[in-house]
Amino acid sequence: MSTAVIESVTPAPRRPWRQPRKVALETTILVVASVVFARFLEAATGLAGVLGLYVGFAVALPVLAIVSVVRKGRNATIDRFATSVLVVAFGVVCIPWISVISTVVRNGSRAFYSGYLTTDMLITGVDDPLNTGGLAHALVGSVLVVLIASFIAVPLGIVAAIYIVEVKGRFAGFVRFLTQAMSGVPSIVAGLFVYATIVIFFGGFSAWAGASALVVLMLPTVARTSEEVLKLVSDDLRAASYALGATQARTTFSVVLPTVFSGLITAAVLGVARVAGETAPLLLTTSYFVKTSTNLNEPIATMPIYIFSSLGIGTENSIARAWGGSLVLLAAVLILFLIARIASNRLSRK
Amino acid sequence: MSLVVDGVVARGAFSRVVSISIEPGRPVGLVGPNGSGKSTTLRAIAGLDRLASGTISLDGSVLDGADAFVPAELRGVGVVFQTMRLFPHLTALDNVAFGLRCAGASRHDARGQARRLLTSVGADHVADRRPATLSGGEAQRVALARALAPSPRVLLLDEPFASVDADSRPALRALLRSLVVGSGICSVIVSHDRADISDLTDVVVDLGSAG
Amino acid sequence: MSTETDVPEIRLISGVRKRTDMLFRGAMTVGALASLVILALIAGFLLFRGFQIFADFGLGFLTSSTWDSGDVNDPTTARFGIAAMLVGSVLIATIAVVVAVPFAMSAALFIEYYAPRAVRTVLTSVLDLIAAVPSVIWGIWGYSVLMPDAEGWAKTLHSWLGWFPLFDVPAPIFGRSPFIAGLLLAMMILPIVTSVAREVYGQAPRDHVDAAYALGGTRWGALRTVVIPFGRSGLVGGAMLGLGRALGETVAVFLVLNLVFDVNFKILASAGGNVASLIASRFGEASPYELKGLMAAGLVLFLVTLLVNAAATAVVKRAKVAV
Repeated sequence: MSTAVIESVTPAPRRPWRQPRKVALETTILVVASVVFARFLEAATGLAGVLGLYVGFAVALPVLAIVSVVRKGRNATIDRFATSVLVVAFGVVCIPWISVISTVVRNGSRAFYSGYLTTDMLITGVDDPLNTGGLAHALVGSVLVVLIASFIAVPLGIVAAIYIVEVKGRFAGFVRFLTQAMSGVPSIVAGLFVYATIVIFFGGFSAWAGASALVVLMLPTVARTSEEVLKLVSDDLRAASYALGATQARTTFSVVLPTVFSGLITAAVLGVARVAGETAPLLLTTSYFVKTSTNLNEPIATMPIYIFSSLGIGTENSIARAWGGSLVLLAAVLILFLIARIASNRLSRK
Repeated sequence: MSLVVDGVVARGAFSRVVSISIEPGRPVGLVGPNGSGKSTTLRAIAGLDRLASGTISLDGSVLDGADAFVPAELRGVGVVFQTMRLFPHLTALDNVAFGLRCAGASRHDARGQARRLLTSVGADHVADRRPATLSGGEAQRVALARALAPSPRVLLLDEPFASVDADSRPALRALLRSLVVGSGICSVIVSHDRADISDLTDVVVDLGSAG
Repeated sequence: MSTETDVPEIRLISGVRKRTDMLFRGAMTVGALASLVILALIAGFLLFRGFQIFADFGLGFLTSSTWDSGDVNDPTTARFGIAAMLVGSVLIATIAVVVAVPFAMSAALFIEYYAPRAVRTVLTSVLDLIAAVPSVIWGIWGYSVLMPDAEGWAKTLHSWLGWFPLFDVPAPIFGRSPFIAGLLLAMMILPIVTSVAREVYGQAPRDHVDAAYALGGTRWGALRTVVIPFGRSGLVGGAMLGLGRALGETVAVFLVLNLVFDVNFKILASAGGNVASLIASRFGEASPYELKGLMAAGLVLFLVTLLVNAAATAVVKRAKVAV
């Protein structure tokens, strides 16, 4: 498409994307008709359940879309068809998400009883009834391991961002590239690395080892988010600080970082959310333990491993426990996300 | 003894020759249409940008030249720029104390001095408030105090009263006048407001005509 | 007032940055290079621990499919090769990308050009959130919800397209296949591919889009002639990022894949390979010598994903520069 042509056709509608009301009405009728059609299809064929209904809908919508506009000409027909395909595809994308969340909530809530969050599995077998035992040990362990990881990864990530944005050092591009590369390190490799070093050197699985593996995975997230956040600080603020005689160090620590404090919180929280559910590296570094423990030099239970090992046992009650753990973990990640969102909203209002 | 700018200021594709001499206690007004290089000149004097060529010197010593450049934080140049807001995370008092802390004063001394400065600009009643809660006039008084706190030898003002309502301007102008006219400070004022220029400055440099 | 003539030396000294600043810059540089140190350590230690395997098996480690830990007391009876695992990893990741990309593209176009503004903001956050769902949760879901359904789809696919070697199976067992693992991975990488695609589509020059809309009169016309071509290289980059993720995924694949040490391109068959799952599954009971084999496998996986990711980053970056 040549630009010359585009520029010669000036009278582009002001808001071409805005659909007139008639179209909205048509769309509604189309969608409702497709759903009705899908019901018939479901009854007529073997396609069963919600998924079957959706398959029917996915067939019906494009067909009805074509039928509805075919008299308006070729272009309109193609447009309506493409639109309905996009809508159907988007629906397909959403189905697994909805399914994951609803299944986790439905199956996970079965494992819940009053003591689920406060009891460990020390005196309870994984296949014991669901009103005994719980995941306190895994919760405590996960919090400890992730906290230790954050104490190392968050400062390192922020330093990397400071180097890129504030110091603008010679290696800034290189550091950004390394951070990117690091974000692609498979989590199992991070675990294997820590096994090859810390676990072998110090002779055993431990919370320290688990935290070290998580640092590798957390650092890139924190560094990249912090970099974005530091870029939000206007240069005038830095200039004002320099003009008052502040060194770069003081400008960074007393002006830039405090100004975007909530943004840095977001970076840290996103990093935590990124690693809270990591399973593979912990398999190789923390192992598992059924007792609530705060000894950082010994194997320690964590949420992902609790889920993974419960699932591996494969009995009805142990699988229910795995779902229960999944629910708690998913809720934790969701809450972390909300915190990050709130913190970043506070930043943008400033 | 004076501040002398004699060289080419440049920002992006824009550049122009500037030649000004500023005497202590005799503020210079810088006027000219938008894009004539007023703000660029101020940034060069403050040490935020380098000159493309030429020199800036203060009391005979070079701040910016072919083989010497004193960075902003070591120049002792105070700025009140429209774009350079107060630090949002500090109270008015701590904003003023910031420059004193940078110069090495203890927290206690810096705050004492800052409070006196706030009093002298008539803003002591807002000392404990955050910049977001201040009116335009209050913020500008605090900004003036902040710029003057480290006892600068040069004071640069870029549209100092643009965000101040018209009623408060005469008072602020009088305040500024009392602080800089006849003092030992070399000051440069950029303003679109003719009243600012005529009230505060003896010498006017028009960048629009010289260019 | 002269300027050039009397330049006192004292000023030049004060022009040097303060020592605290040099210290600060130095410290930040050192800290920023932590990622270099970590990456180097990962490569170095995996090579160090796995070196003996490369020495003992040479290229055979990459080309053979035998994984036999042999007699615990006699390492010479052990045979290690990851060909089947490597092929399986690539096969599964490819399935994931092939399935995910069209959907990611549609979802991105829908979010960016069809959804109302308020819905768009919400969907963007939802994308981020779904991207953060831990892989173990995808795994348990894939194992208990997706697999039973997907077995049925695999059966249908086989009954229609079974004549084609890719969809053939040696025995009518459809669970734990590369197909199912690939589908699960496709769902897992969808959020990241979609958000990259959404971002590049959103950067399409608005005036061109509007003009094309005015010319052709349909929204799809504008998307087809302007937006989709514009976002092509960005989409490729996003797909490669997804590929990198898919190659390195462990737990979810482990739960829905039957590991078999045979190079196998029959994607519906209940037999597949995956380097990351190999490490996770053999780690627990590995002898010291086998552990070295796993380290070597880890190194190979590390290098492959590093390569894919570096390429993806380069492509995405070029797409953004082109804007």
